[in-house]
Amino acid sequence: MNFHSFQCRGHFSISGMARLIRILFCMAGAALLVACAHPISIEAKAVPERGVQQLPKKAAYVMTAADRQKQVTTDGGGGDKVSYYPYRDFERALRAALSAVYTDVSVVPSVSDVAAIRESGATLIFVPEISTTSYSSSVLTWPPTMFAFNVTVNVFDAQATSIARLRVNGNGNAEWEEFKGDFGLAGRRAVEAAAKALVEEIRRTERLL
Amino acid sequence: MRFTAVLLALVVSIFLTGCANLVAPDYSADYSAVDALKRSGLAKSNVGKVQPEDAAAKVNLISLRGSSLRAGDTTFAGYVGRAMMSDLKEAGLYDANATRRIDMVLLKNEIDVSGFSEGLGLIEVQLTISDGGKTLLQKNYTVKTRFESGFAGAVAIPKGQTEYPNLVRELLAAIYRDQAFLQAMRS
Repeated sequence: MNFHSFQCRGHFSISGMARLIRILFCMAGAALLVACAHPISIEAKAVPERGVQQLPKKAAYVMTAADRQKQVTTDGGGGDKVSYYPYRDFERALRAALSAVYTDVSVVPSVSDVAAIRESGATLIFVPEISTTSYSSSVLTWPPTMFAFNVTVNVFDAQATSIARLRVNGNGNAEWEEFKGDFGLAGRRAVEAAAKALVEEIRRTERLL
Repeated sequence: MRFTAVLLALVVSIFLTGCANLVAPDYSADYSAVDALKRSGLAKSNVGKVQPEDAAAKVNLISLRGSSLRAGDTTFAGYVGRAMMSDLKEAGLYDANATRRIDMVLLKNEIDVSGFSEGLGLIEVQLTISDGGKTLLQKNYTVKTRFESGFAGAVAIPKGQTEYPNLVRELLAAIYRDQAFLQAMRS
């Protein structure tokens, strides 16, 4: 009886262990494949065009290598996250937005870098601060279907004196049927909307004209 | 029930990237390098079509763990050519009618995401600057990049996808900072 009892307990224990290992293995696989931050690009395709009525002014914006390497992670769908580089992916759109208003646009490493600002000849220096949120209405797919790209731009003169503070928000939506391998589509649309809004905001701000 | 849901999400996740028709994101320049070009007082140039134009050429094909990466409505050689043209326009140095011309041949073009934690990019072009019948410069430029990747295809494949513009940006910035290139563009 004792032997039988031992056998039963042993058999139960081994099969239970195997089952547990299988479950753990599947969970680890699922964690590796699903519960991770999926990289996306939110680089704009359509950026503001150079204006026909550009102001004869030189502008610069601040973007450092550290800014470009800043990676953020926000929500996707199905409990997953997405990761991207908001500054790097916004730079072309930002530059295009400034070029839509001003005749000459350059990048400088800092608002206090007197030599770089003098070399650029810029009289207006734009310093962007970006915040983002994303979300997906789907529980089965990870690409975000809704994306908010919010930019605060502090503007300084060549002597680093603050002269304006602009705030623009870009929202982008995308449906599953539209992705076609472009998983950052909602983010891209948000970036495009933010760049367009920035052009309008600059043109509305008298001190920047 | 929960286990089934996890498995379903797993399968969807695999197919979402595994079967997708991947397109390289749009190119964005190293604007510090472009601004330096803008202030360098170089002569305006035209950019010829980058070879090979054949979409089936090996350098125009990139596979990311079996998923093919495309360059949108062009080839990867065309992507590099458009990128340089866009940079020269930004720097005020592009003129479609200029006698000075930049031609490139794409010799290597690889994004490798087979590693468990790191991906590799490799690109090489042969660049020729000519004016009329005179060759001012012929030089090969090679750039290698390393980027964080992952074991899972759901991470590695989009990482490789988003790396391509960065690889081209590094290549073109290296060209713009090269003294031999600047000398040939100035002469």
